[in-house]
Amino acid sequence: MPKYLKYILLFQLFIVLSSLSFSQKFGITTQVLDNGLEVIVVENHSVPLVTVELDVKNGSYTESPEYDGLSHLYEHMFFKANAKIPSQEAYMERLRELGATFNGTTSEERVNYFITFPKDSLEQGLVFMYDAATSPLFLEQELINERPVVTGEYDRGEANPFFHLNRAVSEKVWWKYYSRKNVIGDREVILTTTPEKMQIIQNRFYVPNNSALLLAGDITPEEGFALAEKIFSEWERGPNPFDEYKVPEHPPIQEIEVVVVEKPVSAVTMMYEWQGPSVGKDPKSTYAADVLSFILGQQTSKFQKDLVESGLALGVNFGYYTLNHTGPITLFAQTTPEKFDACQKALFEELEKMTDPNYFTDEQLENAKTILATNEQYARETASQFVHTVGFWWAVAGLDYYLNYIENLNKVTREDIKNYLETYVVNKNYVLGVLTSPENAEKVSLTLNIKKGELKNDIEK
Amino acid sequence: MISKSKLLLLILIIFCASVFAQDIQSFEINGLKIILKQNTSNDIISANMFFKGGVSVLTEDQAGIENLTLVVAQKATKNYPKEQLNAELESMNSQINSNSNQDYSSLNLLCVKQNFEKSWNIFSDIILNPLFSEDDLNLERDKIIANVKQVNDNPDAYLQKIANEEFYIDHPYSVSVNGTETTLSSFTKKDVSDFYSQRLKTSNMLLVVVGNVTKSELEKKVSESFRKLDKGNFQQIVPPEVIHAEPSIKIVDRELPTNYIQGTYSAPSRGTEDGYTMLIMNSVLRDRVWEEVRTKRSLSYAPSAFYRANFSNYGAIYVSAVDPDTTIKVMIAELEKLKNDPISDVELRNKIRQFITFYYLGNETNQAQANSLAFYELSGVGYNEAKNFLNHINKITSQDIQNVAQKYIKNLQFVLIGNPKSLEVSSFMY
Repeated sequence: MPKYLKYILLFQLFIVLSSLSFSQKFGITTQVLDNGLEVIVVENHSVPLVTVELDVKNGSYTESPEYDGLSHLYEHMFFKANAKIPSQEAYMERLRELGATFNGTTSEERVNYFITFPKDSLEQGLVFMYDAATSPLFLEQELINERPVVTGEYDRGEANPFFHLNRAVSEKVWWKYYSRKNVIGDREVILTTTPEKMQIIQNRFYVPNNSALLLAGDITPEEGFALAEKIFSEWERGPNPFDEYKVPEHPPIQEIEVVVVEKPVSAVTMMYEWQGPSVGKDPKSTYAADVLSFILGQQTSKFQKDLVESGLALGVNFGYYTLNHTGPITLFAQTTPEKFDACQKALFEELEKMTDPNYFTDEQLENAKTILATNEQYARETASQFVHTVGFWWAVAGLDYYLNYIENLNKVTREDIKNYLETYVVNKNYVLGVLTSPENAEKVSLTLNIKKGELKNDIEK
Repeated sequence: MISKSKLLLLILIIFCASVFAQDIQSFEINGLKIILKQNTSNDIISANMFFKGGVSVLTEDQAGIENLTLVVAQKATKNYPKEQLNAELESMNSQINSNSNQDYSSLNLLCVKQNFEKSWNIFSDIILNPLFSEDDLNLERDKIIANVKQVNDNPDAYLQKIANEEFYIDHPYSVSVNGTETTLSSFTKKDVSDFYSQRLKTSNMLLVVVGNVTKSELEKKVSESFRKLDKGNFQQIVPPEVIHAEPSIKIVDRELPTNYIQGTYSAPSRGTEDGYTMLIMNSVLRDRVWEEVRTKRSLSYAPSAFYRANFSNYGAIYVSAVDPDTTIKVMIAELEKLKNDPISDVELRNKIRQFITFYYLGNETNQAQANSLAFYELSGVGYNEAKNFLNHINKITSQDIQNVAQKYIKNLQFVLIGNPKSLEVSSFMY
């Protein structure tokens, strides 16, 4: 080999290695195929398994009322007949041959499908995922069979009292475009859907440039990228679905609203919800939101001491769920019927105090950052689960958001937290849902009716 | 000639046995048995102190005392007042919690290596010097009572509670792990403190650590912390097997959109030959009821079969369904099929292959591996059994599965929560 050629090859190798290490963080390496499919490899050799996950930017946020719940129904149909596998029975048989476990989930802004198998099934597993993603048949009979299964899932949700609390609050918070937040969907829409509607969802959203392929576990980036290129490069790019099918912006909550949900429960649960930041528009607030949530979760915080250690609440949680199209800020508190009045008063006092400079210490602020960073470290121990987290961030905020997450958390200041609260919580309209037993409903309603005006004034001070 | 798939399976099993066998050591200090699995592949350390006996060491009046005691123990200690204890743990995000089940309890520490020293000091002080203040006792008691009551609000949790009560009548497991409002309300500070002193004997305890820790490092720590503890004289407790002579059904009337149903049958404990076979048999059954009930007939979203991990054990079929009669008939037909028709070699081979994936998924974290080692040790078969797991699984034959199905699947104890339009009780008498 001529000497100059050797240098060229070495130089090329250096370029490849540089580009890999440049994008590598937390064992994550990425590459985008020519068709727009983002391939993400999460290396972890602790057990000889690989998880293959396909993430698609689909979910309730893409659903107008006539599609309410169909992203979720589509997720069920993914595990059925395709051009290569003639039926769901054959589909399951193939999974067993591969030694694979599988599942899928649908949420507001992401649908994911994942299979985990021994490493020697890797190539066949990728082919299996490719066939499912690119050639579903949506057989009429399989669709008919699946409808009662999805409504069975619905029944199970409705059997849980918290499902009703969550729905009652969500319908009011997202009052104009509720279908865009209603993952489980509308029974009627599910029961009357057609294969054509499934096809429309596939054509719009199941294109490589709206998807990511994640490979996690006992695999190197080189192996992963080579196989992804070999198997997925034929998948045809489509138009960006969000150019044509815009996601409408949720209008603000018009007024403070209270809803009492009666179910046979022993405790009283309060759920306050505000409209929070969208990560694409206000990422700074999302970091502040997460840090604040982890300050308030600490046992040493005023929030926990005043509410839980005082005995007023059985548990409290104040959190923000990161989404790109308005994430909710939710305050949960659970108490006994006897302490309801005192507990809800105390909750408002806490909300009022949150913007005070002394509400939390510098140590608690730093602890929150440490907790968030260490939680990530704990999460990375489980490759088969961590891959879901990476896929979620890819879909909702972009992978860079996640890769720089810890760094940005460390920059959060008291001022950022104050701004976040003032922009989204203080003096802002919210919806309060109270879940209580029918026996205590009157007492709860009476308390709320009398004090509803005062509550509003209190927070507006 | 060995087939390609068998060869791959063999390679996987050899690999797996070697992965799980690596660096597991056991030693004893002052009567305390310690199992250490050194894992240098990450910086997370899981250290767990187990207390043997579970509900078998409790009277009915003591139901819930061990769980309550361990929860309160974590709140403050002699050398770490509450504020300091919380502040130090939060500054490191070292996590300490407790767990109680029917067979044993544990205090668990999860931390990163650089904080192990500081975290261990707190963890060991919780074990040695808990304060059990009156305020902490009352606060935690109220929370646990609220949780106990809330089990009734959730049909799935309630089903498990009732199924357990119906299965373990007149058995040590009939004593509730979490307790009842009556028992929990009765415990005084002295009760809790006396109970804990009696449990704090090294022969009652087992320490399992998985993570990047050396033997000498751990020996030093354990010796400093626990060398003065009483040894006591704990004797292994083997809870009796349950035998039901007749099938039964208990119906709990509740207005729900669907019905929650579980039928339980006596099953061998894990770690026995029958136990390994039952694991595979149950996995085959779970796939089959899924396919017959959900895929082919759309009768339910959630048909399943499971096999618990108690020392005195049961297996179960489970489903939520609007039409219980039709659904249960389909599920029982699958039980019959398991007993009467041998499963094919292909199905068995694929199932074992799939099971290996489940096995690894269940052992991904240091905490999960610690729990697995502890389970085998505490059940009496010894921690070494954890690394033999896949060898046992690989030897299972189709005939073994049929034998185990015939031996154990009978006299199902059904519980149904709901309000079905019709119910043929005879369909459940299996």
